[in-house]
Amino acid sequence: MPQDPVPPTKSSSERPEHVDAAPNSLRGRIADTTVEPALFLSSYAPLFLILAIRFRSTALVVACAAITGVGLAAGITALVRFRQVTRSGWIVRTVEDRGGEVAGYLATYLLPFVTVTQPDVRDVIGYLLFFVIVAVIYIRSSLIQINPTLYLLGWRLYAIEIGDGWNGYLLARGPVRRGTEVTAVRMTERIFVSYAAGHSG
Amino acid sequence: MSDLLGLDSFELPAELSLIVAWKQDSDYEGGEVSILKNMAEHLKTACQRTLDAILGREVRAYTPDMHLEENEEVLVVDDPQLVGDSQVAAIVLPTQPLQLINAQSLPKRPLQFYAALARTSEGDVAFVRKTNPHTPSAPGACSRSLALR
Repeated sequence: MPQDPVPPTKSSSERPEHVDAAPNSLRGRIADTTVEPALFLSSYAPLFLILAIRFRSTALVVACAAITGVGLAAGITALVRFRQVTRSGWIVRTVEDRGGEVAGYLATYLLPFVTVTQPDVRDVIGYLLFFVIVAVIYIRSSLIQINPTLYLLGWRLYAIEIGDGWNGYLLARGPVRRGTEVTAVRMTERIFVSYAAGHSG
Repeated sequence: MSDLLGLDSFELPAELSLIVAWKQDSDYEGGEVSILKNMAEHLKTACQRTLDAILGREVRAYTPDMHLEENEEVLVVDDPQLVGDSQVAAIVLPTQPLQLINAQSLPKRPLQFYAALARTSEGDVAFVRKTNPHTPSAPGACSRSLALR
């Protein structure tokens, strides 16, 4: 804890912009190593529920149902955990509802309807490989912020611009309007979560 | 003269952000570390002590050749241009979100200073300490995680 800090510094409109540094390592870049896998699992929880309904093999039904439960729990736990993190307030310069991207993401949800109901070992390995590839792409790309499960739970996704050109995403339950201040928790490098009811100042 | 700092009516908000900075080549790089609300309470207590100490001292404009009366005076840079051009100010008073830093990567970074940032409707205020907060734990010492794992 600071014991004898120097006097506080007041903000100035004339200060230069900060330029984000290149990450030193993957581990250093990912602030919370559990949140991204948790978001991935939760985003596919409904898909595994559909698979559990479609499959006839008891083992596969149990496995898919378990993944559904784990995925839902992981997503909800992440949201609950981040309620305990300090929030910061930012003025939103531009805001755009990205609900359409969630609809596009649902293309992967067609998988249960093209799978066979009684797959053999080779089919199951193929499905697993597909999900590994999707997981890698999801975590390493901008797909991370698109989460149909959170949409089902009432969260909405906005693309926002903060400050001098910082672009990211905001998960919020209520509407967000341009020029208003959002008080939100930083969940990942590019995702803020607002637990407030709305930002329609 | 403490009005020079604009802190007479300043009240610390409940939630503070923790910012750290390290050397990267010849420049400073900065990042934000997510902290829990109870951790922010500890930071707030420390910042409040600092604020009380500052408000109890005489504010004097900084010049390179002046002598500081310890525990009686506090020096202030009264040239906004100097603050505006400061690389440190760009980190501790960011105009946009800084990169998010994994708390477990802190020991590996050559930290130069850290700051508790208070965002208020009257402007941002940063309490800066010019030291590396990481000190290796001695055997038997008690240590505590700063942030989420």
